[in-house]
Amino acid sequence: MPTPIMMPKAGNSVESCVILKWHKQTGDSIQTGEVVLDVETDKAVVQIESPTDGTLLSQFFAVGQEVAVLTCIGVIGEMGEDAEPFRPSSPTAPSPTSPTVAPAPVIAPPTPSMLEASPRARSLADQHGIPLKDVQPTGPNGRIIERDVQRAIADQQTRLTRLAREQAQQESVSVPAVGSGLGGRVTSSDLQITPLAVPTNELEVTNTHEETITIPLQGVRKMIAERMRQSLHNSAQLTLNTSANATALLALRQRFKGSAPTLGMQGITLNDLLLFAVSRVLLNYPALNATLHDHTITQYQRVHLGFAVDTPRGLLVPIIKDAHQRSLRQIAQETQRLVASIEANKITPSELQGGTFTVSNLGALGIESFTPILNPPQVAILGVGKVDLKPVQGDGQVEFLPHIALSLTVDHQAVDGAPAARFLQALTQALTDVDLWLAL
Amino acid sequence: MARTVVQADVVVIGGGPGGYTAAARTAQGNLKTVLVEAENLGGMCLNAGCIPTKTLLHTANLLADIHESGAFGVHLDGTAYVDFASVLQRKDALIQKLRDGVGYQMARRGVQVLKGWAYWEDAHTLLVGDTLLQAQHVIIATGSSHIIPPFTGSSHVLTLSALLAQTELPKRLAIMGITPIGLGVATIYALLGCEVTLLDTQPNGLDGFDAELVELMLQQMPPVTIKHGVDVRSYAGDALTLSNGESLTVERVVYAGARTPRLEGLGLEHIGLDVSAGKIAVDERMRTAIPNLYAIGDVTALSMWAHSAQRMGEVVANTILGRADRFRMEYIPRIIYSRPQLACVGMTEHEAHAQGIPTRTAKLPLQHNGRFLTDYSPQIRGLCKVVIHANTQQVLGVHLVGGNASEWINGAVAMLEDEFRAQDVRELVLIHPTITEAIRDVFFEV
Repeated sequence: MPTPIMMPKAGNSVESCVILKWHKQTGDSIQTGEVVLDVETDKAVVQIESPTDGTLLSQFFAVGQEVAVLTCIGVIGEMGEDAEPFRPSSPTAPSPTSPTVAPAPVIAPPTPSMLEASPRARSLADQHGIPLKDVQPTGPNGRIIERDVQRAIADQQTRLTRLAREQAQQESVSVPAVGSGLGGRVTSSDLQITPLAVPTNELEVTNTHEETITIPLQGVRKMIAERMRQSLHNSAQLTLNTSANATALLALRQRFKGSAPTLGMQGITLNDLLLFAVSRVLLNYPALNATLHDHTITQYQRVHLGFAVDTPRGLLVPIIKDAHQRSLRQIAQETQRLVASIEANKITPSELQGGTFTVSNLGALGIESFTPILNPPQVAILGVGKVDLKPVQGDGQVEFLPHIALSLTVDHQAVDGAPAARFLQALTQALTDVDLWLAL
Repeated sequence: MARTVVQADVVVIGGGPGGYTAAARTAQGNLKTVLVEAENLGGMCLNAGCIPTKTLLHTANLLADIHESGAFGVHLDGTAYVDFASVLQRKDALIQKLRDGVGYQMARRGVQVLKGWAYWEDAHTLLVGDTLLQAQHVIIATGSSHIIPPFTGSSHVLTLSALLAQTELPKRLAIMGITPIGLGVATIYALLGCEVTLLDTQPNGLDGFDAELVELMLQQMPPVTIKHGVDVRSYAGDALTLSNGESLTVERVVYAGARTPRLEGLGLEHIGLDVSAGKIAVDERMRTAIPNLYAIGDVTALSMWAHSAQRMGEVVANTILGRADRFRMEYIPRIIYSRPQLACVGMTEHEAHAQGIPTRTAKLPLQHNGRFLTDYSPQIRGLCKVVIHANTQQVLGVHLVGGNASEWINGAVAMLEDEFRAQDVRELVLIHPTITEAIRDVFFEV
């Protein structure tokens, strides 16, 4: 009969342990009392001994994984016995070494499975009347552990009215621990009297009514504010700067301009060429054509390319769906259609959603380089600057060649610097040889 | 003279809604508490205000309902009439029952009730008769009274307490002051068949109420004569002479103007408390300028409603018990007990504009509400009006006129206290069919 190996509760305060080393591999035979694996608590290393004689039938967790106490981590039994019934029921988080590639874009976040919580977490939540569904789990397999509940209690102690919460998220105000509202709730007026606020009397003296314009943060502006703050708050942004030889790009642009109107290519811009190149190069770098959401990286095989558009309402990012399948001319047409749609105020939410990568071009405004902010949940955004002459060492002499500035911001949580640099390198090459890529 | 010494942690002077609440709460907090009351427990509210007038109003409303019952298919074979003696009997029995209730509550909490007037002989000597009270904390909750401004014959003008003590229903009654109290009294006596004249002698008597809703209420209340912009010059025999020279024949005149904090007779001058402003100034935790001396209720003139006094009673108890609390003034509901009632909480449009707050308002006639139509005659109108911050969508005020608006407004208090925005109210699920659904539905009119 199979015998489960449980993660021991090594001390009252221990919620989970990390697997340090499996001394026995699946299929190894084991004697009672032999060390099967080492686990590490926050304080010590504990050796787990076999409770029985037999064969190690299964290891449910890999080295490095954090496992809640009293979870089944492996099974010992006779060869041929089924260990699966002992496998912990909640889905195992994808291990970092084997990223799953989604067959098609999945925008919807994964729904949380049944609420798993450690007994200590459960009891603490009961004591404080915290619904487990409101607790953000950080334990293994999405399990709620004690410190998650502690955090929820701390959050709950600073209770804000809905209005105050909304305002605190929009504006840089500090939130007092206790407010003046019902039961110590923090109200909107408590936010205004924080030290960060400018002394109002002084303001009134120096700025008469006519000299200031008050613009409420609402509509698109509010959405941008929330998304940008959320972006910087929730990701680890790293920006890489380079430039690409733009000689071929500029030459092509000239040829399009002078082409026969019947070809419909006169309107193709430098930006369209960039979008085209990005849509093709991204296919080889799925790590950059990805989103990070709910601790899950989703890579996409299709490129839904967003491009930033400056509008009177604020920044909007329409999406060129399946950009990788569109010809350069089709990309240019779709770009024009989307921009016209925005100008006519007819853009639909579906045309602004579902992007897998974003390009933001400030080159026309003479910007040399900038740090684009990620458009969450996307993990990468390309900023494009202006075309500048750059000295290049040619055959025996220095040549000045036009270069287009590129700044790639990635979420270091999902993408490391080297892969991001490799993508940028490939993109630089593709832009240099953009005429060749058009033949693909 | 031998004095009995009573030691306590807390002494409360005045057994009205503020005083008895404070006493109950401090006693609950295990503090030895003494409550001093010169007359009857329950204060003005229970003995000569809220409770007796509501008892009479209920009878008056019942009579009016009977008169209107034909619209609901109920016909009476005979004449409905009011036996005023039994109405008074019911009122008095009810007052006694509630007084006993307060007394029982005090006993149950271990509050010692001391009958008499409290008086500070000096800063360290608080007397009630021959009893010397030694206390760590003293709460003044002496309430307010109607002080009738002097004019020829003003001594014959009745206070509300005196009017309620009359055993005969007057045939012609003049009421000085278009105030919530004045309108409440006018409604009762008019419904009971008395000829009522309301004199607008009290400036700004309806401050804090939305003018449009006041107008709708006045249009529908039982017929009374309203005289605007007049004052009383003299009162002799049954002739009441007004400032415009007009003379009214009346049986009784009652004063329903502003109430004055009761500060006299306490010996406050002996403890150095500055009451030159005609009230006791307190902070939001009900502390006066003198350490360990507190004041709550009407005597502070902060908010002269029984519900405010009760809340102040809770705040002062928490202050003494070392618990964080504050008396918030922004969302105190206000009420006019007429037929129909007018109830509101938060700001009027007018108040918001005076403060420079950009607003939007929405209105919903209660005739659009199914339950209002089932319960009221077709000619009866009501209105719900809400004031919203134009930028943040915060609900700033909810105003209702119609039927039992006093019962309907309470839910809105929670919305305002928790800074609900219009979209939050729209998400509420309320029982259907109820009239209070209007408070949510009006937000779809924004």
